[in-house]
Amino acid sequence: MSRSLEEWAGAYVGGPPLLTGPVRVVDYDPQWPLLFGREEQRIRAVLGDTVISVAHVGSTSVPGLAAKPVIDIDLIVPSSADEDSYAPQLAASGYRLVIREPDWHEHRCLKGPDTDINLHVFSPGSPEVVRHQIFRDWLRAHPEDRELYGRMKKDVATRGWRFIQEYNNAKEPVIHEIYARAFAALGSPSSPRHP
Amino acid sequence: MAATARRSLAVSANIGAAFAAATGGTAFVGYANREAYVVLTDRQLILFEANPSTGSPGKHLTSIPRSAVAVHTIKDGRFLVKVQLAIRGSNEILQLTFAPLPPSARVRGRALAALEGSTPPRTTQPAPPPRLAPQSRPAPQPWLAQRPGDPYQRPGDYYRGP
Repeated sequence: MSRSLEEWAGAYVGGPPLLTGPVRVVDYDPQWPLLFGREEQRIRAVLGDTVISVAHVGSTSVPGLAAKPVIDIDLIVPSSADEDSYAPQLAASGYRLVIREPDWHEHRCLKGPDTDINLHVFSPGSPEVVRHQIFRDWLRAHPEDRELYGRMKKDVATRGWRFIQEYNNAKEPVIHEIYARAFAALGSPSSPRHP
Repeated sequence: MAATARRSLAVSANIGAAFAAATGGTAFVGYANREAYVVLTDRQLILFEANPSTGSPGKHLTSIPRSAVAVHTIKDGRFLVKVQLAIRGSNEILQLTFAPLPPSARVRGRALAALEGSTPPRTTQPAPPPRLAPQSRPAPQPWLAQRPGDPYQRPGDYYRGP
């Protein structure tokens, strides 16, 4: 959810990266699910039983939605705060820890060895993981909001930004609007599913 | 935007009772009269505060393991559906008040009342005026006991999507 530029910058290991050009938002690419699948295989091979679940989230997980070509992945481990249980193994395979947020659900984020990914690490029960799922599934099922969100992203991307978080913050009014519809429409909770 | 916010708030639940408990390792602090979205996953009951300016789900308020929640009382009034939830390990009641419009809000309130593992006493009497202070829970109920194979101990979490 919304965070100030200062909060966001402070979470970066080694400081936040400056954008070197305009934010690139491209049309949906059917390769994105395949790239996620490759990452999932690699993460599971590296971490083994430490992995509780791996899920493709964010805009590249929504067929038909324009997006930054960055694969967002939610990885659940027993304790995201316990970096020693996963970060060294991932680092040995080329992943790089870039964000550490002890005060925000113990969130960690790593970049991948080759594909442009954001590997978000959370602990079981994190409300953010549920929030991501709700947003993804709503956009998959509702073309009108998918179109709205895609158009808005392309528009916002054309403005000049120093940091990616400024671009993210500019998207927030529409994201709030879509979130409100998605949460309001949640169905009966009587038939839950597992990831 | 304003219409969207109004619509969203209409289907959110009002948390009408403060509570404080320590259940399953999760600490809860008191919340009184907050508009909130209620998300029920296969593991948890999650409350997100409704942003007063945008109507969208904002700050995460709390997550309660489903196995620790049981319906205490349902008051299906003419306008409001009030569901009182007992939290294992707590002496307080969490009251969720669902607005009359749109009808999906009442549907959701009734669905919440069908929480798995709950065998609540039911009432369809008209709802009394809302009580804002924490309410003491009556004698412990057997349906609050931990069920074997507590699902919250299993990994993962999922809500029922659209």
